[in-house]
Amino acid sequence: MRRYNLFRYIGLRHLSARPSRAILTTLGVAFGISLYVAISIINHSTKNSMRESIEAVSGKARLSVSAGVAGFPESRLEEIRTTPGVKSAVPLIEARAFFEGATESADGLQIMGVDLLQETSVRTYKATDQKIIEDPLTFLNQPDSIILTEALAKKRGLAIDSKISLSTALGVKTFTVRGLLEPEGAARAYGGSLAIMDIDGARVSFGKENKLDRVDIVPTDNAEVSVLQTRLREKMGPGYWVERPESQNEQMDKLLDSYQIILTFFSSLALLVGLFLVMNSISVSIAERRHEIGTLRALGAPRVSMVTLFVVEVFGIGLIGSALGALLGRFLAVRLSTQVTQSVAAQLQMRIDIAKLEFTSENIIFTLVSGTLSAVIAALIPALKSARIHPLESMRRHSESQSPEEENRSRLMIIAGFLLLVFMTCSMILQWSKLWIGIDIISKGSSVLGAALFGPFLVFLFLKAFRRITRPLPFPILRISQGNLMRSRKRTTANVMALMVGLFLVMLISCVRSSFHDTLTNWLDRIFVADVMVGSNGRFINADVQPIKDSILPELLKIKGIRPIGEGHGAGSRIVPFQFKGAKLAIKALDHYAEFYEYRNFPVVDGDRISTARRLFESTEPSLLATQSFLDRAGKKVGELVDLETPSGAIPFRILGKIVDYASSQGVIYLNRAVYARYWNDHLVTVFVFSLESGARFEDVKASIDRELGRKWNLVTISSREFKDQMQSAIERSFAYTRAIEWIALLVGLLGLLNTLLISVMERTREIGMLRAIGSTRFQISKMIFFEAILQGFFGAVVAILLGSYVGKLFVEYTLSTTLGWEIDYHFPKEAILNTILIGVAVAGVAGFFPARRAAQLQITEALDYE
Amino acid sequence: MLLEVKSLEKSYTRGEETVHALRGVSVEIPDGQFVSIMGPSGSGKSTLLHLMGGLDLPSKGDVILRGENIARMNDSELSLFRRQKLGFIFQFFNLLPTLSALENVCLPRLLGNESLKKIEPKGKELLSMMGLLNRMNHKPDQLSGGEMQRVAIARALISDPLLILADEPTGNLDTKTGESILSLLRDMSKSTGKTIVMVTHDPKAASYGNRLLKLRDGVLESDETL
Repeated sequence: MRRYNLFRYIGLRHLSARPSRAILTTLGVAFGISLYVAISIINHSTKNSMRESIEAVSGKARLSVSAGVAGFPESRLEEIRTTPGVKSAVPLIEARAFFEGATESADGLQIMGVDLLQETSVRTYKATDQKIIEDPLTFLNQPDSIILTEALAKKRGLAIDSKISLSTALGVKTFTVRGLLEPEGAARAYGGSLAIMDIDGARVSFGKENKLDRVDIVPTDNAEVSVLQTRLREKMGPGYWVERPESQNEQMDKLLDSYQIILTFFSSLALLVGLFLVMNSISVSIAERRHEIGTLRALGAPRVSMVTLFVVEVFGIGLIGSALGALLGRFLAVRLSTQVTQSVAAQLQMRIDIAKLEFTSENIIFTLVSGTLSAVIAALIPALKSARIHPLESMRRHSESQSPEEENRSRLMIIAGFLLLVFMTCSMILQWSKLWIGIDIISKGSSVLGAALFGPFLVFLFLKAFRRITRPLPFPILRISQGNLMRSRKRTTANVMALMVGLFLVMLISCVRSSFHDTLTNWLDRIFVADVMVGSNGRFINADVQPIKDSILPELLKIKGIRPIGEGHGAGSRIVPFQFKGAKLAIKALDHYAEFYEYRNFPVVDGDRISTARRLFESTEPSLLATQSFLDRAGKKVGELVDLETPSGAIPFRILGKIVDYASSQGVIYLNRAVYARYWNDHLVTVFVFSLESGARFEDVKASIDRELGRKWNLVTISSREFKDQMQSAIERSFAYTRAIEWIALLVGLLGLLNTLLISVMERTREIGMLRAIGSTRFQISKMIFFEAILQGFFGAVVAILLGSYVGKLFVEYTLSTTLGWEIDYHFPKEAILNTILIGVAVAGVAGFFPARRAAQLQITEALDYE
Repeated sequence: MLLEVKSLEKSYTRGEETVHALRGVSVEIPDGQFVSIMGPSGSGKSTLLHLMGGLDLPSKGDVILRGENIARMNDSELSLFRRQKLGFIFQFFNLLPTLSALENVCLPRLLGNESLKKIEPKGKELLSMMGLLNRMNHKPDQLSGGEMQRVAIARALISDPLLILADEPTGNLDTKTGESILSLLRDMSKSTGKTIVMVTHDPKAASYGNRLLKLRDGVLESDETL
């Protein structure tokens, strides 16, 4: 009751008397938590969509047999069917197809080639015209038949009997929509971007004659699934995966985890910045209310009541802020989901369609509880500090200079900040997170807290030096502003902290982005010498294109103006995902007689690059080149043999050398395409590359290809410049969501600075009154406050650049490389220096504007009487 | 005896120097007295008042109020003691700007587990005594200095304290208003029998009391009845 009174008469009144302060702090919590919520929603929904797709496609099947993208011989179906314990074994062809003219992954759809006569024993479908499912003969009698989901048809304005042109391995083919599936059963998979075809038609259209991609198995009622799994594994041999749908889910989760951890890292940093704002706001609020606290303590309010008062205030702010954050997070999730899934898809070489963004009531409760609790925890330190304030001490006139105890405390804070940065450095370099995962979280928190505590010390050093330099200049207001900042260390520290953590995050993200960008583009520039790329519809940069038959090559070579690369006659490459020890790697199979890259540009590290590359095509034994992440996963060294499970069995491959390639973070292997075709029985090509003959123009060659072959094969021809531009923009898009994080961090920083500057003007009301009394003009007063804001913004930005790039370097070189499995070189983001400083000054300018105006408008007599 | 101050000492450090603010002050104050404490700056008068009010703890000695030694109390006990047994009047009024005059008056009891509804009649009575009933819903920034100090006096009386401690209560008021406040305190002491200890540097203000303690360099220099 007593504490209730305290909150009712003091806390609530304070909040309602200073609504702008309460709103600023609430918005800080809301923005801080919103990004965390958004990323959580996207991460959760991505996993759920993937899981739902797997489950929807699996249907009643308890096991499935597959052998990778290239598929396996149809003849093995009978072996599966006759295995004891198998009730039904239903074959499936899986392929990607693209609408004619597609250049984006989003224009693609998943094709399921099914045997409709057997299909219903595994999967269920509900069509608008159910006859199509129940009486499939009509469907089968018309080979151009295709069934789409209602969602896809609606999206593309299609109806029953509409014609659609899809690029296939044989070129463009026209299909007729015979049915539309309601979002039930298998039609829920792949976010609805799904089409059903007859299995035989799909085989022909997608270059999978006499092959199957997968067989779904429903066991007999009395069969033990695990026993059946072992039995089938033994029967099928190496190169085949006999899996339960659950284990596919686990694998998918594992794959997504490695990428989502980075998203979560950035979003939790934004949350930390938001919480830091809460802590800062409460600290400053306590400083501002010292006098009030003293009076209450003198009148008999016990310490515990003071702590409760602040905690309850923050509880309210935290709760409202979290509720707003949840709404904002939901909105951000919608805006960011495409960017994030594109980014994940590009990194993991898989297609991701989020069917729906899930934000359940459990999520809402979790957000409210975690947001409120985090805010309360952030407020506990300053609240406990308030309880320690002695009534007498707090009723004395506020002193801007620090007492010896406060000076000691400040020194301790600086040392603590420095030690936190040292801890973070050691934990990243020495990989302490391998000992205990919690170290990783502490280390990330230490980077923000360390920068926040140590940064202001550096700002003071810069301010001191700046004061020395500008002393002879005839700018008295600038001198007063600098003097004010130096004199009131507490206040300046609070202001700088508020802004700096936001800018620190901006710089950190810039470091990561620029390192990724520069590493990939440098690598691409170094290895990629082709002038022309030819492929079918889709997205070249992540090899999400419709593969085509390699029989087109002789026709392509007849085109005037194109020249084979290096010593060969043209180059086809097959880029496919490949499962190896539970990871999803990428195989790049390159033509043996005309390499994808010139030998001298092969991205081989260590040893003689040219001879190592040459051996890949000339060696008589199956050989490969591999990235370090593959070697780590395989536990092998260059020169050793490694068994690859192919549809033709386990084949030992000699590791000829180490390469650098960013096609998959899990690992990449280069094979001779002839060897690949032999063991995987896959003669499709993902993309062809050529050089231009001297004097030939790309535009002319492209026009010739379009005229001669384009229509028939639905070919897309792009120049290497276009490819590199696409790659650049893909990298940019991969990091597009980080812009949102930067904006949020800056917004939080802006709110923090605005809050602390407003309070600092209020604290100095009497001083401002005195300055006005002795003759300062309103303009001079506002200029003084404005200068102070700008100086803090400028030097805050300088320190944020120093600390952000330092932490960024460690993060890129140690954490990121370990997490992603890519060796990313650190690249200092030079362009970010000017940006960060401009942003820092602009944010400080905006934040300083209102307090400056407020200071200028103060009435002298009121200001002098201000208590 | 209401208040017994025994061999009170208080020292603190300022930089490297140790300042002895009080050097063994002893004094006894019976019920109903209006005691003024005077002394030059640094004489220790405010320190003595703070120790009497439990706002600070002595280095040595005891402060016994109605048999309870407040120098030996912990923080929670002191908070409760201040709330129930003492009333404070400050030089700068120390009213909370977000509360109305009436709420400010009721504040000590609001802190003590009571509803405003229950305290309100007493608060109104006190405001009426101070001639401020018509201003009860005004916020401090709508009141004059004299009015704010009268609200503060009413607040000091709300818990019906044993002792009222006033620290330069007229230091922030003009002469006329100051005199009216002092008269109010004197009349209140007479009419209610409340004991008041007031620190002042103004001899005229001190003359409103019926006993005068003079301090110099932390030592009680004189103790005279007025």
